[in-house]
Amino acid sequence: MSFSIKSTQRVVGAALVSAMVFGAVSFEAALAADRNLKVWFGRENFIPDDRFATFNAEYPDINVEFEVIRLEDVITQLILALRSGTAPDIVQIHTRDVAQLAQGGVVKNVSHMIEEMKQRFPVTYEQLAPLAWEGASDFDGNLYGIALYAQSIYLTYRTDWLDEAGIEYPLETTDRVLEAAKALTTLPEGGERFGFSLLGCCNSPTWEMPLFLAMGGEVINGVPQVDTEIGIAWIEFYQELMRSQAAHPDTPSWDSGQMRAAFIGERAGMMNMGEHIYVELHKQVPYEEGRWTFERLPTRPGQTEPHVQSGFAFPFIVTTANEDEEAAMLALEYLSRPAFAKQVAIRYQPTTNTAVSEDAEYLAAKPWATDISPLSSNLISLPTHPTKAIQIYDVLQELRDLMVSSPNSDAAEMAANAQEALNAAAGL
Amino acid sequence: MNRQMTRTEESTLRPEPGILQDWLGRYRRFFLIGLPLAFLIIWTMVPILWAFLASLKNPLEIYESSTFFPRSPSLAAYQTVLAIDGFGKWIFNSVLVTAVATIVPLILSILAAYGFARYLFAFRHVLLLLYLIPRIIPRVSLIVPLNDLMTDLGLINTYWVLYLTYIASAVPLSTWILVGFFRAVPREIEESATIDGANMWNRLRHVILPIAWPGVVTAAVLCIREGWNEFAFVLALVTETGMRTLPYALYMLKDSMGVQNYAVYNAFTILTVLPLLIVYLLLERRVVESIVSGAVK
Repeated sequence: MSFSIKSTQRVVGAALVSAMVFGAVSFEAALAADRNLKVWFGRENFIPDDRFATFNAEYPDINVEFEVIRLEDVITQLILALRSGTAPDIVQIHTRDVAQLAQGGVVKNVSHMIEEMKQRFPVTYEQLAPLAWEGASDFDGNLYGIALYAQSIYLTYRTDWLDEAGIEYPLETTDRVLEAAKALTTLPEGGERFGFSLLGCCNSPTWEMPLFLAMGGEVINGVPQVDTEIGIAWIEFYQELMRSQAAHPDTPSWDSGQMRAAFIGERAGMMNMGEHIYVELHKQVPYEEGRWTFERLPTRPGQTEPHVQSGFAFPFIVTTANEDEEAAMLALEYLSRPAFAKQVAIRYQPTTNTAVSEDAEYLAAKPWATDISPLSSNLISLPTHPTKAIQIYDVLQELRDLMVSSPNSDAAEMAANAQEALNAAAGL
Repeated sequence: MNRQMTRTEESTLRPEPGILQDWLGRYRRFFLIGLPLAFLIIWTMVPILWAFLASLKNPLEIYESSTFFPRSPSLAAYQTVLAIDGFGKWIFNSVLVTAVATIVPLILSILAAYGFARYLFAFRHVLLLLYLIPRIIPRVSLIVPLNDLMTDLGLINTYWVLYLTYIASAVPLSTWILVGFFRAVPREIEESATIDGANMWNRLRHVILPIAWPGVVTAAVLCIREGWNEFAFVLALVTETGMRTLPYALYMLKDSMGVQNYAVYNAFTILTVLPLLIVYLLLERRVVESIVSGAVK
C-alpha cells in the first residue's frame, strides 16, 4: 500500500513537474510567438520579392505583417493609426518629414538600436552609404531608422534629337538648356514636338528644388531663399520654357506621369528626371543605343557658387508604436541586405547599399549605373525645416505651379511674394 | 386650263396644313427632345467609351492627345488587373459592404419614412430636417471624430466600421426619397385597406410598398451607388489590404513616382463599374415596369 502511495506521489509529482515544464515552455513559446511587427511600405515596389519569407525562416518568433500605404497619405494615416492603436512599427516616409515627426513624438529615436545593428551585423552596416543615415535622422543626428532608397534628379535628354539639331552636349548651364529646348521644339518636317517636359501641378516640388540648389540657391535654417538673384533666375528658367513654348502649353495641368510620358513617348526632348524612371525609358529606348543620356543638373552661366547635386530618400522609420525595438532593428537589417535592396534597386529606386552598385546583376540590369555613379556619389540630402517642412513644401508647390502657369508675370515680384509666404510658413 | 394647271402645281407645291403642322411638330420634338437627348447620351457615353478605349491602348499611347481609337487594341491591361493579388477579395469586400449598406438602410428608411409620411407626431418636420445632418456635414470633417469613436469601439480595420459608416450615410438619403413617395400614395387607399382589416404592417407591406416601389428601387440604386463608390471612409478607417474595397484599391494603383499606367487604371475602372451598370440596367427596367403597372392600376 505504501508502495502504492509513494508511486502515486511520484507519478503525481512527475506529472506536476512535467506540467510546469511544459507550461513554462508553452508560455515561453506563446510569448515568443507574440512578437509581432507591422511594416508600412510607401509603394508595392519597395516590398522585397520574398515578402519576408527569409526573415520568417531566420526569426520564426517574429511575425511580420505589412501593408502598402502610399507615401502621399502616410502622414495622415500614421497619425490616425496612432490614435486608434493600429499604427505600424516601421513606416516608410519622405526624408523631409522625419524631423517634424520626431518633434511631434510620432517617430522613435533608435540610435542605440542602430549601434547594436553595427555590432551584430557589421557587414550590412558598413555597406550603407552616409545618405542612409542622413536621410533618417534629425538635425541633432538622432537616428529614427534607415534610408535605404534615395534618388536624385538629372538633366536627361535625347542625344539623337540634339545631334539632329546640331547642338553639342553636355549642356551644363541653364542658358544652354534653354537654347537646346527651343531648338528641339520645332520639327523640321512639322508636327508637335517640345523641347522640355515639365509638370505644373499635383506633385510636390521635388523636381524643382534640386535645380534651385544646383543653380546655387541657398536654404537657410530650412527656408529656401528664393527672393534672391538666384531664386529669380530659377523662376525665370521655368517661365522662359513656358513663354518660348519649348514646354507643352498644357503643362500647368500636367502631373509627373504626364511629364514623364511626354519624354518617354518621344514628344519632348529633355526633362529633369529621377533615375528610377530610366528603367521604363530603357524598355522603350535601350540605353545601349545611345539615343539618350543624362548629366548633372545645370548651373547658372558663370556661376561661382559650388554645384550641388541633391537627393531625397524614402527612409524606413521606427514609430513610437513600436514596443519591440530588437524586432524592428532585425527587420531593418533584413531590408538593408544587398540581396533584397538589389531587387528593389533593379526594378525601382536606387539603393544606398553600396554593395549593390558593384553587383554584376544590377549593372547588367541598369547599364547606365556606371555612368551615373560619379554624379550620385556626393549626393546631399535635400535641406528641410525641422518643424515646418510640410508647410514650406506647400508654399514651394504653389510657387512652382505659378511659375509654370504665369510665364509673363514679374519673376522678382513672384519671388518676393513666395519668400514672404515661406517666411510666414516657417514662423519667421 | 393654264390657270387650272397653275392651281394644281401650286397645290402640289404648297404643303397641306396638316403636313406642315406635322413637320413643325417633328422639328420641335427634335430640338426640344432629340437634341438634348443626343447631348445627354454623348455626355454620359463618351467618358465610358473613352475609358474603355484607353483600357485597350498601350500605356504611353494614352498620353497622346491625337489618338482616340487604340492603334493596336490589347487586353493586356485587363489581364494585369485580374492578376493583381487581392483583386477578388476587393470585389468580395465591395459586394459585401454594398449589400449591407443597401439592405439595412432600406429597411430602416422604409419604416422611418412611413412614420414621417403618415403619423402627425410633434416636431416631425424638425426631426426630418435633422435627418439630413450627416449628409450636410462634409465627409472629411467627420473622419477624425469617427476615427476616435471607432477606435473606442474597437472597430478600426473591421467590416463593422464600414457597415456602420455606410449605413449612417445612406439612411438619411433613402429616408428623404421614400418620404416623398409614401406621401404621394393617397390616404384613401390605405383607409380602404384598414376597413378591410389590414393592420399597419399589412398596409405598409401590401399597399404602400407596391405603389411606392419605384421610390424604393430609386433609393436602393442610390444606396448601391453610394456603397460601391465610397472612398473617404475606407481610406481613413481601414489600412489592411484585405479589408480594402475597389475604390481604395483603384486609388492605390496611382503612382506618383513612376509612369502612370492609365490603361490599367481604366481597365480596373471598367471592371469596377461593370457590375454597377448591370445593376442599374436591371433595376431601371423594374422602375419603368412599376411606374407603368401603377399607371394601369
